[in-house]
Amino acid sequence: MTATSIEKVEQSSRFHEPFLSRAQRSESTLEQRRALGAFLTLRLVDQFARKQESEEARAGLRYQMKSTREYVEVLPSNAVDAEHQRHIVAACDRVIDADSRHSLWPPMLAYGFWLEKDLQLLEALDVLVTILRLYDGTNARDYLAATRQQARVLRLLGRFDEAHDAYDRGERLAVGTGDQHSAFVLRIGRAILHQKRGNLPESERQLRKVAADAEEAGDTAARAMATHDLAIALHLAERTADAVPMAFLAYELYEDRLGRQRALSDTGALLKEMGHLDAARRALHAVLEENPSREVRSRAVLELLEVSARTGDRFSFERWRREAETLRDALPVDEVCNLEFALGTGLAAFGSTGAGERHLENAIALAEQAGLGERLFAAEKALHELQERRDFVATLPKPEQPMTPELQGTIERVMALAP
Amino acid sequence: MLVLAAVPKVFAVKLRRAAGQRFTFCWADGWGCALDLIRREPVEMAVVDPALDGEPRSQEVERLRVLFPSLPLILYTKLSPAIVPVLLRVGEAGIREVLLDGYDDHPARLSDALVDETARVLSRQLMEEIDDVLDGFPRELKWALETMVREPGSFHTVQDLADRARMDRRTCTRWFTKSHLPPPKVMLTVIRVVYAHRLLQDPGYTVEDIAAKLGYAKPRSFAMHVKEVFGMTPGDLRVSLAPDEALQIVRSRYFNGEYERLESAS
Repeated sequence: MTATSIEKVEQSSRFHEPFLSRAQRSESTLEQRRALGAFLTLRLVDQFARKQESEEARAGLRYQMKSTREYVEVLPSNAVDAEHQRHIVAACDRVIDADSRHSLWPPMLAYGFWLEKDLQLLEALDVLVTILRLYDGTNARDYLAATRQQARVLRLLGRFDEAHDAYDRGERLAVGTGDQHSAFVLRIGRAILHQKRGNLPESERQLRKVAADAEEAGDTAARAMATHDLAIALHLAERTADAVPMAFLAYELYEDRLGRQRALSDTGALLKEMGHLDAARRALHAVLEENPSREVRSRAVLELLEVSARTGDRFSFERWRREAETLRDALPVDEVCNLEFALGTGLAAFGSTGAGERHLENAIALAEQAGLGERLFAAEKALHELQERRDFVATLPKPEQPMTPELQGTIERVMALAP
Repeated sequence: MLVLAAVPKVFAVKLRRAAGQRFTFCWADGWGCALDLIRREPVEMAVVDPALDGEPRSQEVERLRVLFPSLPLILYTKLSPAIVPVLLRVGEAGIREVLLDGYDDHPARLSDALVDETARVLSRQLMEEIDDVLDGFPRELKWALETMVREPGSFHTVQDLADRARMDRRTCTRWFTKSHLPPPKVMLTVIRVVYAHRLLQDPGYTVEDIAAKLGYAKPRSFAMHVKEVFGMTPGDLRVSLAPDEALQIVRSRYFNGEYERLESAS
């Protein structure tokens, strides 16, 4: 079944149905043109999977490229996807006479990544499968990056068997080319699959193994990633007291800034869940002090919004609310949903039940629209409780007990973070 | 190879210019005409535009697909908002090759698309399946046999086969004897009947259609040949045997080197 499932993914993407479907669903002509721009761009990239050895063949390619370029050039300059399409077509122009197709990979991977973050997952998968077809055996690094991305998108789509195949395929190549770090990263991805399938003990076991192997191999980056994901796995297993030290250890291990910020932000979120609100606030403030990316910043602000609601700090709540509103337009739909949820529960906690209900209703609408099942459930539950007119603050989780030495040590280290 | 072009004239002209050396085209200006040509002429591939009647519709293309699943189909059309749902529908029906006017229809690309589809053409597939039987045959003779399947109207005798293979009749016959195969006349009949069986798997053909398509003047002659090879009527053949079963029968009766001995014995 393994080869067949990946083949199915590849076959269906040759027609680029996700973008045709998007064009069909579009509510505006502009949106439709952007979807068709992507369709045409990918069909152009498809041609590079064949050897275009004769001058006639290259003439055919130039003909198609000219038409495609003319189509995407007139798309709005402020449309991010159109900009990606233009970059890809420009890359096609550069490689048309070159021996190597390597220059096509970066803009394609970037487009796939953007689509993924925008939750256009089928479209992201289409882009990734298209570029993977161009692999000629000489750029294993790019292939591994694309395979990891593909596996992640398949995982997000809930297509776990196909994701598993992609992780396996990637790991085989990584091991074969001596790329140990990529092999570790792919093993981490596969371990997360077990989480998604509900097998938390197996996920934990595999992540601990990867962390240990990475430590032995001196791969700190991989060890940090495995430790970070282990923290998430422990939290999902309702062992948040064990998760917090792991998240903070990941923060200490990470060398790259983004990893550090995410790990510290998660540490803050986990401390908040446990009710250690002062430590949570310290961690989240420390994240903001590092001038993080917009994605990390927005998550930290949302967490602080909730912390301030729980501590009854209206002043801080309003401060974080203003900041969150400035970030709203750039947030992907799942984060906007989180924002509405945080605003709803926060305002309700301060007694503004009408406003609280409105924001929760917005959260529900967004969750329904984007298919965010868990968030939908949480928002509906919160709205129901609010409408029952219970003491909303009292429904928020109480601090967890007991304290472990590791947790205590972590809290102390968090509080000691430089202001 | 005969290709049906159920496309606007301007597309048909582009096709002819791009691939007229390698392919022969017959043009249909409507779906009824397209169906007639497929049934009666040795059409092996079709290039169709869902907007042939003006408004893009998937129904006619899907109908072709249902009636003639063995016929390779290429879509050639203009990109527009109206064509999008049609492309989605025909994509679901299994059609994978689409050529867009102004994007994919440079002559080199048109030619390549047609050449690529020939691998899926029924006659080519059949010849590949019996390639082991013709092992050792010169390429010209193999090609002549394949052409016989494709252009049944132009092959009536062994002399026609020999001429197409650019050899004299005696040499042609000797190749078959050397490979312990039936004489060329019998081989032509056998291959033609096996090909007919493949075509009969498509629900869009009647037995009479197949007979006409394969150049038989009368359906009765076709039926007689089917009976000789398989011992049943074309109608029974259609429903009784799967393609691989039919080929297996033919292999055991004609291609196992025993034919000569059996003929001598009888």
